[in-house]
Amino acid sequence: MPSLALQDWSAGRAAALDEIEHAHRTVGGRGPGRRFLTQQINQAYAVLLSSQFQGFCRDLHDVCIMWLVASAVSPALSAINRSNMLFGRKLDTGNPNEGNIGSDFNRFGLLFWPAVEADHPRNPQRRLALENLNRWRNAIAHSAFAPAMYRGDRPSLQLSEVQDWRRSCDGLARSFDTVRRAHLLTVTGAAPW
Amino acid sequence: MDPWVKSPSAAANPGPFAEGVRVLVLWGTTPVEGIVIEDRGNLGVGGKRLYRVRIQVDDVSDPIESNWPAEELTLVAKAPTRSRNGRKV
Repeated sequence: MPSLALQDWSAGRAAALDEIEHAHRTVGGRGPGRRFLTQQINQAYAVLLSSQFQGFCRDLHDVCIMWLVASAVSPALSAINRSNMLFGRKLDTGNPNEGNIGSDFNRFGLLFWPAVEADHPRNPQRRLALENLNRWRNAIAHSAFAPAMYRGDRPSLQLSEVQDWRRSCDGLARSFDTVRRAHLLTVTGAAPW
Repeated sequence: MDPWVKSPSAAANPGPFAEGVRVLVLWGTTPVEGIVIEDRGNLGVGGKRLYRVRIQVDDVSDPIESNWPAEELTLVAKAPTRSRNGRKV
């Protein structure tokens, strides 16, 4: 059974992302041909995907903290540990890029990205896809596009690119969940979920 | 907090404390007043409800934000509401 964070990612967060795909189909249709009206929808989709993945990572981090501190000998010690694990957490304010994710999850005493990459052969490519998603996310949010993001005289992001990033986030989410579960089981002696 | 980052299941099933309410939490062994800033949903051990609470332990240090299970919070005051002219009441 997956963590509550992964359940949310697969249900409520997926439903929110499906809504914007639906909006894309409504505006652009399914047939062949160039679409000029959907570019802003594609860009909004990328920003929302990044936000939802940040939310998933943050939820998983919270679930892990609560499990880890539950074994403290007193409620006071538990509260102190909890606060210190949360102090300055990058995912509270920053994008879910590999640096922020690594900084926050490394606190649990596991080298996070090597463990994630070892969990599935596609994860190194998925990690690159996540970085690409966050580069676009920042470019869109700050209206600062790199020359490589242009096609013709304006930035151009295809729906298929965002869908690929979403599949990468799906794969990473499952691996994050697996890696954290295995590590918490090792550290505490009990399966957290 | 970006609303898209927040837990969708928490928004769909609100817990007993709303954002903005003032609560009492134990900081170590000392009761401290804080403000609920986010309903984190049922992310606690065994599906316990969690809240993000901001506390200010003294006049000189930065505020501290942490998560507390719902059963460790004591309601002090409800969140201020706004009247039709936008003023807090």
